[in-house]
Amino acid sequence: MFKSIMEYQFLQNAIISAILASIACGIIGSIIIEKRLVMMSGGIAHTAFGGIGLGYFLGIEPIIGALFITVCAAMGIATIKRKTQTSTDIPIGIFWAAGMSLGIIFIALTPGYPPDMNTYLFGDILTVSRNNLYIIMLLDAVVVFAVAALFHPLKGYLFDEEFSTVIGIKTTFIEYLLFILIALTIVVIIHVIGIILIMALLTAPPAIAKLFTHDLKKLMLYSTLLNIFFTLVGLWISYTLNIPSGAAIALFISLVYAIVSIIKNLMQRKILHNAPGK
Amino acid sequence: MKKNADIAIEVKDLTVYYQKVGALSNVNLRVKEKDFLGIIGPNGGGKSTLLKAILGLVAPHSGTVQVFGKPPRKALGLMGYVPQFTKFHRDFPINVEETILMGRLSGKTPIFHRYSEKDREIVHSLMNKLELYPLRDRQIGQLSGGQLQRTLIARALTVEPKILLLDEPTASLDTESKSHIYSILKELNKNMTIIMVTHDMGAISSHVRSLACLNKKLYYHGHSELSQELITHLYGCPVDLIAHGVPHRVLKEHNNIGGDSHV
Ligand SMILES: Nc1ncnc2c1ncn2[C@@H]1O[C@H](COP(=O)(O)OP(=O)(O)OP(=O)(O)O)[C@@H](O)[C@H]1O
Ligand SMILES: [Mg+2]
Repeated sequence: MFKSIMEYQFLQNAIISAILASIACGIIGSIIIEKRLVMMSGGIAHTAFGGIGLGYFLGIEPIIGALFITVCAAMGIATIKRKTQTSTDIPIGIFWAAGMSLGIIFIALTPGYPPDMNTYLFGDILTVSRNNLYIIMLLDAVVVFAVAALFHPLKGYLFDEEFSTVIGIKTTFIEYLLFILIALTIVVIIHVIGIILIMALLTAPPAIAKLFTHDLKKLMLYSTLLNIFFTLVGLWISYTLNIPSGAAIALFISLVYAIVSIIKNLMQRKILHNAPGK
Repeated sequence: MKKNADIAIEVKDLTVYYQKVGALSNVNLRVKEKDFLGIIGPNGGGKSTLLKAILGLVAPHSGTVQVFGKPPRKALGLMGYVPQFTKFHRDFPINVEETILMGRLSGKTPIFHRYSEKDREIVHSLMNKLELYPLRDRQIGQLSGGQLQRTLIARALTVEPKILLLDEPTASLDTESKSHIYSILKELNKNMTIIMVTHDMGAISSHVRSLACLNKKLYYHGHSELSQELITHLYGCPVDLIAHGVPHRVLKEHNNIGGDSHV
């Protein structure tokens, strides 16, 4: 494979985009699990499909369509979250379904032979073009810059929104910004793992990393490193076995997550057993 | 200068509803600067709601709240707060020191902010005072109830606010921690307005300057010494003040009025 990396640009693009996606995903994934935004992120991710459809329909780069729609959806979901006191599961579920449906309808309305949507649904890291790579780079830079620039207030908002509001931190601004960053991250990783499998890459690595640290910065760093490991190994599996990359990565992550959870459980049981007085 | 220059908080005809439950009805309250106001009242009396209305965390149904002449949302950053119940997730990756440092943030925190030496000094001295220093690296979920409460009090104090609002801050504290905190509050009260909800009658008698008794309506607001006037007022406010241990300073007063027809 290493010789091929030197030879083929598509493999270079794949590796670079895997690393870039890992960074955005490690940072935003840590935030999503700590702020309990998994469902909402899933909702935003699925509206991306509508955006891809819109892109084809308008004859523009599908990723740009996805960017536009996910950012709109993110603002919408952030507003719903602000306005509803009770559970937001139901509106999120509706967003989820509506986004997917829009995608199907746009594709149906697009004249000509229907495009292959599997790349977007399940990811195909080997198809990342130079242009895609530039978009991914830009979005990644925005995510990293925003989180680094606002790290302390952001952490305050994530930890204790009420107190942060009281001491004057602009929590509403931070919340909307965060939702936009989630949307950008989703667009970054669509090519790598696909809309349907995004949640695996966003949630499992920080969940594993959390076993090893109680520090938000380190959690982000470890998640990023895990992501790089998962995506590169997944890419290798996909390349050598000639299977779709998104599925290879997602399955590999799930396997590691399961093993880590079992080990963690066994260790806890052991601690309980060895506890004095037991 | 405006004539109300020394008024920290002005609550006028405040009514607050949660959906259909009325929590406060027509409350009028004026808190002077550098006052130490204790708020008492039965469970569900609206004490926490009043604090949240002052902080701008719940919106009034009718009436107004002004903090230094401004609506609460415009006065953010002037107030520190210790909530009765915390809403955060206790497994959040943050330790005691970082939690307290958070109090140093504000709306003016610049981008790429780092905590200064001064911030850290303030936090260290508070951690020492509240005996949190040995716990500084503990993840927040690995604290006992009282240790967490001390952390949250320390966090509110590091804000160095003009007004400090505390909602049952000593509810789960041992005697020693309580007296530490009251002595810190007393010191702070020299240039800070403090409002404290409490069921701790000992604190009411010996630390608080004025008293408000809240049971949906404001039944009493005035001097904290248990005079005849106060007793008369408190009959309208079902509170265990008189049934439970009557504080000594109060007892003296009580004896003074012993000959009166009320006893
Ligand atoms: N989030 C809420 N939703 C609906 N009703 C609420 C809510 N919070 C408080 N209430 C109601 O408002 C009233 C006042 O509640 P509040 O929490 O202000 O009382 P409190 O005086 O602080 O009581 P406690 O001594 O138990 O802390 C109660 O009747 C309560 O049922
Ligand atoms: Mg209360």
